[in-house]
Amino acid sequence: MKELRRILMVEDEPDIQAVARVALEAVGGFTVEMCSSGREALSRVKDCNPDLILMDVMMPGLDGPSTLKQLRADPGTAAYPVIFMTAKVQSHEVSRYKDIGGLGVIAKPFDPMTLAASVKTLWEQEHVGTG
Amino acid sequence: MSEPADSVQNQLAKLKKKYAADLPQKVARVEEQVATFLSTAWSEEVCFATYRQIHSLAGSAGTYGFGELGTAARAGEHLIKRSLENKAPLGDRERGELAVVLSRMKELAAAAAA
Repeated sequence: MKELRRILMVEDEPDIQAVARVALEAVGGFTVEMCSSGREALSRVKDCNPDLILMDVMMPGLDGPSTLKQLRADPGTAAYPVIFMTAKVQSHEVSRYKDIGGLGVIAKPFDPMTLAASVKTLWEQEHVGTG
Repeated sequence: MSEPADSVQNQLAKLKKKYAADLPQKVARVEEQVATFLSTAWSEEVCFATYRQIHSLAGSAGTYGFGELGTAARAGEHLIKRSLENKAPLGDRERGELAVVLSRMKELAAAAAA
């Protein structure tokens, strides 16, 4: 199974960026690159070459789903797995995010001590058996 | 998983302390935005900006462990969302509810910062 090491987080809220960085780096042991918008993510994703993109749904300008759509439209970025983060986690909303190509959804607000484990669980569900 | 738990806890505690100290200002900014929203002709742009601002505070407050403030902000978010979906200003009853929510948010923010 491919190992999850590098995460590109796309989040416009500085307070969430700060706590998520601790949660993912210090708790989870991941390397984290941070982007503040969908547009910034699109411009940096190839250089960053993350194993996973963790993306807020509601962002000014290009929101999470629109950013994912643009990632999928470019053959060079189409394969990056994306997990959404959102407060909208009713089952039909989660289904919608998966239908548009999201790997899964992590609820906001999140517990900083368990965020990394939640990310890893979704990652492993997708990658078990893929070598 | 990576660093000793106390080190992580210290980092989170520092972030929480700073966030708590900033909360009154954050709520004041929400209050200003809501005042603009309520005092000007309804526009989708202003309504969405208000929705986004209170939505952000609802999410961050909960993540930083200020659940009651997050819940109050979420109640305000739902009121603004109704306006956004109806593409219409809030009615008198909803304005009253929003005033109560903001008042509660201010109380909770002040308590967190104290």
